Amino acid sequence: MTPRVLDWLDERTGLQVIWRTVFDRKVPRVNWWYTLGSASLFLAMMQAVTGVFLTMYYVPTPEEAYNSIQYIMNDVAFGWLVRGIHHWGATLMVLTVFLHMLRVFYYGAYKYPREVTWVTGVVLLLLTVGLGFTGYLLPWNQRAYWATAVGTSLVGSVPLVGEFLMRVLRGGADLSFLTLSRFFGAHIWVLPALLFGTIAVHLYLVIRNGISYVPRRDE
Amino acid sequence: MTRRSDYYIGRREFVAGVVGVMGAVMAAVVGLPIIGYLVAPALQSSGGAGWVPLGPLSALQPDQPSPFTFSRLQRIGWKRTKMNRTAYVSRDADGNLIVLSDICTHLSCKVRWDPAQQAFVCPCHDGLFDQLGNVISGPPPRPLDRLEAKVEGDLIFVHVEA
Repeated sequence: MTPRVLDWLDERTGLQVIWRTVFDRKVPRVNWWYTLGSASLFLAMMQAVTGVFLTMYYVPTPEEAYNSIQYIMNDVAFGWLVRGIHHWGATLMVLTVFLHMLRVFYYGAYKYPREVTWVTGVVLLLLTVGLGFTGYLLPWNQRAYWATAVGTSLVGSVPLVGEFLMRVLRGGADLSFLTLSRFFGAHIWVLPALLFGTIAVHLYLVIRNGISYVPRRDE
Repeated sequence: MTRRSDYYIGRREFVAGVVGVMGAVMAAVVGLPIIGYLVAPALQSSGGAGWVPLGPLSALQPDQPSPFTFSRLQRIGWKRTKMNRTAYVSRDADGNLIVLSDICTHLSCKVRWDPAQQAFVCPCHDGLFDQLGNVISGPPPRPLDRLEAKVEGDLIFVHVEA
């Protein structure tokens, strides 16, 4: 865009202030471990984009779930690519989020004034794992089915309310089409909405407080 | 300080450029296949062009169009789906068989023969067609589509497009 168009836009929106605040902020001299947060964000956005496109063919019913994924993989142009990115991106995202947490932990970056950032980060880790867990059922193959049978049974071992929680999670006593349906709903609506909402808070705090420097030997 | 020529690119500009180019490449790698991904079903043939038996000549009513239902298997996505259709058969002044599609030529609602009005009526926007499919009134831009038909023995066959 020409400077004139940019000036016109900036005068009416204050875009430059936002740009400077978000991208031109001062950061201490850091190392490559500090890129894991951005990597996680990038992967989250890739998951959102590929996930949206997958829903155009995926059908969340026991009769059609498996067949629709076979169709995506074999008949839709570049379906293998879209699903492949979503599949491997999911694994990679859990990894980068976890490594990001380790970096923050070992550098002590969760300390004052960044405690709230850490807490939202923990929420983000749980949401990421939740997305991984709900997404794992959707292919509705043997591995997906039994992994979810085991995963939901674990909840059943919680004292007193475990049995009830398990039934809520499964949408009934047993794994059924209701389980698939609610996992799908959680996977494409509830958890992503919470994830991106929490990411917004997390990023706001990162920008507000600035990032921590690499701890020195004498600290 | 070194003298900067007009073509000097600083580190900041270089990094910004590299990030921009890499971002564009990544967007293209994901974005271009997505176009193919989205249009894929539009390019797949649902199959099933050919002659379909409609019914016996003896089932024809003498002075008004007779509805015949026929079905054919279509490959839609990963499934073979039975699609039911209706065609109206009547005879023109010379006694030739006229087989009309029941799909309105306006916006593809289904027309129905109304004996009281002696016309095909489209329920969506009040299109009216006569017994041979010609437009009487309403918005339809052209007569009802005619299906190619043939008779073998006592059976009427129609040719359906893919």
